Amino acid sequence: MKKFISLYLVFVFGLLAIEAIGQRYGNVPKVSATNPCNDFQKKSCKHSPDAGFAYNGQSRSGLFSKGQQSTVKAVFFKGMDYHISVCAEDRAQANFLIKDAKTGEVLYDNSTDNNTQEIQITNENTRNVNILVTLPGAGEKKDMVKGSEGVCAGLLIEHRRSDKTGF
Amino acid sequence: MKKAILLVNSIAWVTLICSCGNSTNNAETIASDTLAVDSSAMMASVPEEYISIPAPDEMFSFMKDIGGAGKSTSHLNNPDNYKNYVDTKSKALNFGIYATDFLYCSTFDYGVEGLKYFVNVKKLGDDLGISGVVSESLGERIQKNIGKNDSLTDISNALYFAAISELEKSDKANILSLVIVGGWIESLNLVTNMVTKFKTNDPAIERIAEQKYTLDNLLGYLEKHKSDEHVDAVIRQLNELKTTFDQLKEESTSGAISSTGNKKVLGGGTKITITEDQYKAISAKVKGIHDSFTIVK
Repeated sequence: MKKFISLYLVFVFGLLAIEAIGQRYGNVPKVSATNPCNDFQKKSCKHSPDAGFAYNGQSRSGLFSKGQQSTVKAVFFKGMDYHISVCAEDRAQANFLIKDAKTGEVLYDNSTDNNTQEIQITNENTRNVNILVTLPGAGEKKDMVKGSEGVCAGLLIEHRRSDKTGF
Repeated sequence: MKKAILLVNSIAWVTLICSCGNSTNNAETIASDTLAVDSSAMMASVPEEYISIPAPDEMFSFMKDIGGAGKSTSHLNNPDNYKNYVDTKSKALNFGIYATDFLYCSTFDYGVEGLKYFVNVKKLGDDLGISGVVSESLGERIQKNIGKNDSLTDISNALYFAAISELEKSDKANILSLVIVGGWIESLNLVTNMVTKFKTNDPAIERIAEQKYTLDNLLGYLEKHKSDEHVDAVIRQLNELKTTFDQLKEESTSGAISSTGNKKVLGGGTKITITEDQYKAISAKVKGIHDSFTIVK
C-alpha cells in the first residue's frame, strides 16, 4: 500500500514538474501556417466582362492590415491586353499604382482615376512592372489577429491577345 | 499518516488543477501567440514585395494566337523518364515539366498523348504530397474532354494553378520554386523548338527574347529561397542563361500613356532586340538546362 502511495505521489509531482517546465520554457506552437486568403482574388475580384480573357498566374492574394502596402512584381508582355482588378473584404477600396520596374515611372494610379478598382491596359513594349496595392487606413498597422484588423485583399490579372488595329 | 498523505495529495491535485487552468489560459495565449506568429507567416504570403512569374499557358496561348502550331510531341519529356525521378529535386522539377507538357498537348490538340503526361503529373503530385490536386476524377474528366481543346486547356491550366496554390498553402516554397522553374524551362524549350527559321521581327522570336524579363523575376523569386541547396543549384544554372540574355540589346523608347476606348495604352518602355547568334546561344543554353533536369543519370 505504501509503495502504491509513493508511486502515486511520484506520478502526481511528476506531472506538476512537467507542467512547470512547460510554463518555464514555453510550448512549441502546433498550428501550422496557412494563408486564409488563398485564391481570394479568384473568388472576389471582378473578372473582365469582355470575352477572351484568361486567368493570369501572376495574380495574388493575402492578408492585409489597414494601411499596409504590398508590391507585386510582374511582367506585362507587348501585344497583350491585361485586365487588372483589386478587391478587399468588407468592400474596402484599395489603391493601386503601376510603376515601370526599371525607371520607377508611374504608369497608372487609380487615385487619379476615380479610384476605380479595375482597369484594362496594353503595352507598347514588354516590361517588368511593380504593382503597388495599398489598403486605406494608414497608421493602423496592428497585429493581424490580436488587433483583428486583417482583411483579405486580392489582385486579379487576366490576359488576352490584343486585337490588331489599323492595317 | 493517512491524513498527511491525504493533505499532500489534495495540495498536489489542487496545484495541478490550477496549473492546468493556467495551462489552458496559456494555451489560449499560446494559441494567440501562435496565431500571431502564423499571421506573420500569413503576412509572408503578402510580403512587402512579391515576385510573380508568368505561367506557361501565357506563352502557349500566345504561340497559338500567332499561328504557331505545336509541330509534334517529340520535344516533350519522355513519359518513361518518370521512373528515374527518385529524389525531391527531380520530382519537383519534372512535375513542372510534365504539367507543362500536359498543357502543351491540351493547347495544341494532342489530347490523347496528353493523358500520358497527366498520369505522370498525378504520380509526381502524389509523391510531392499534393495528391488532392490531381485526383482520379480529374483523369476521368480529361478522358471525357479529349478532342475538346478549349476544355482540356482549361482543365490543364486549372490543374497547374491548383498545384501552385496548394504548394503555396502548404508552405513548400522550395518545391514550389522548382516546379515553377521546371514549367518555365519546359515552355521556353518547347517554344524554341517551334521556331523553324530565325526572323528578327517574328513575334515568337521577340517573345523568346522578352523572356529576359521573366528570367529576372524568376531569379529574384528563387533568391528568396536559395537556402535550399536544390534551389541554389538551379539558380547557378539559370545565372548562366541570364548572362546570355543580358547580352541582348535594350533600347529605351519614349511614349505617353493614352486611352483607346476603355483601355489604357502604356507607351514607352524598353525595346529588346536579339540577333540570330544570340537566339541560337539562348536556345542551346535552355536545352542544356532542360536536359539536365529531365535526364537523370
